[in-house]
Amino acid sequence: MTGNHHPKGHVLQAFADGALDAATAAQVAGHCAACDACRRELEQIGEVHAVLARDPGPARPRPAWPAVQARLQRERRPLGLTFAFGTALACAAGLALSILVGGGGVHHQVAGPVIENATEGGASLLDIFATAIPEES
Amino acid sequence: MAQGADGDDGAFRILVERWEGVVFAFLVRMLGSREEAQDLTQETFVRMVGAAGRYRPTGQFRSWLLRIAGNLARSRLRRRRVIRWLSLDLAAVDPPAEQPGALADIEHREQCAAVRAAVGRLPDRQRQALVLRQYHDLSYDEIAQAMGTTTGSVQMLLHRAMNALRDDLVNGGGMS
Repeated sequence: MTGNHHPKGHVLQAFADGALDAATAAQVAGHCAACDACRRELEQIGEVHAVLARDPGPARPRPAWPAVQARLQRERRPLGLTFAFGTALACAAGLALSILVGGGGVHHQVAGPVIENATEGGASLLDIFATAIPEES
Repeated sequence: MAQGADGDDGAFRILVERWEGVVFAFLVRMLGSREEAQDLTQETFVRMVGAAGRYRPTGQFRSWLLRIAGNLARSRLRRRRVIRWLSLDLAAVDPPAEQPGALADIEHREQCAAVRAAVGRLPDRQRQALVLRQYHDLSYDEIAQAMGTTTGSVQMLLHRAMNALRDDLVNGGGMS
């Protein structure tokens, strides 16, 4: 780097960034004091930095914490509990369906008679929905 | 981080509020999209919480956090390229923040747009190193830590990035 040996480009860049150790930085500074080409190179690095600095950056983001907290709560929910809850929900839905279809008769164990009795007893799903939703006048 | 790892969400909340601006600004410059940056900012903090138990305070927390964000950003950029080759025009996607009195300063806005577009055209790793150095003031060692590389590699990445920017900005009229 002394005399006619120019510092490499990445060394000049690190010098401009103040990222060299003191001894190397002193060598580069000494060289640049006597070398127009390297001084010009340093000036150009400084110009690019100045241009980059004109960009103020993006405006503030939306606060991230509410979404992060919601994600954490979802992901922390124990898998076993979720599975147990899902199973219980499925069982309850199945029971409710059998009561609705079977007209409340727990003695119906076979699928065929359930449908038959449901229509006979007048407690089919269609009947129930028909009474639950009033007709428009 | 230690408090958070012990189940104190209040500690995580403080960390998120303290660092969300830094992470978001970094991701906007990496991705060129506020929406994607917002999305990955949340993801960064979710991963931070997930990794809290493994965090060892040997280096800078900032570098560690920006490493998570950087990995997510580069992964997103790779996925984008798989879908289609996208020429990042950061200025078009995310206009610079308005400063007092700057609204009418068209020249200033055009310069900002040119700078963002030029930064957006850099290769991913060069852009990452440059953004961390220029806009987040990380030391070369911190950048190396954030990128999982050596200080020597950081020197080369920054040198190439600056050369590319100089050529790009001179040709694009961003600097004389």
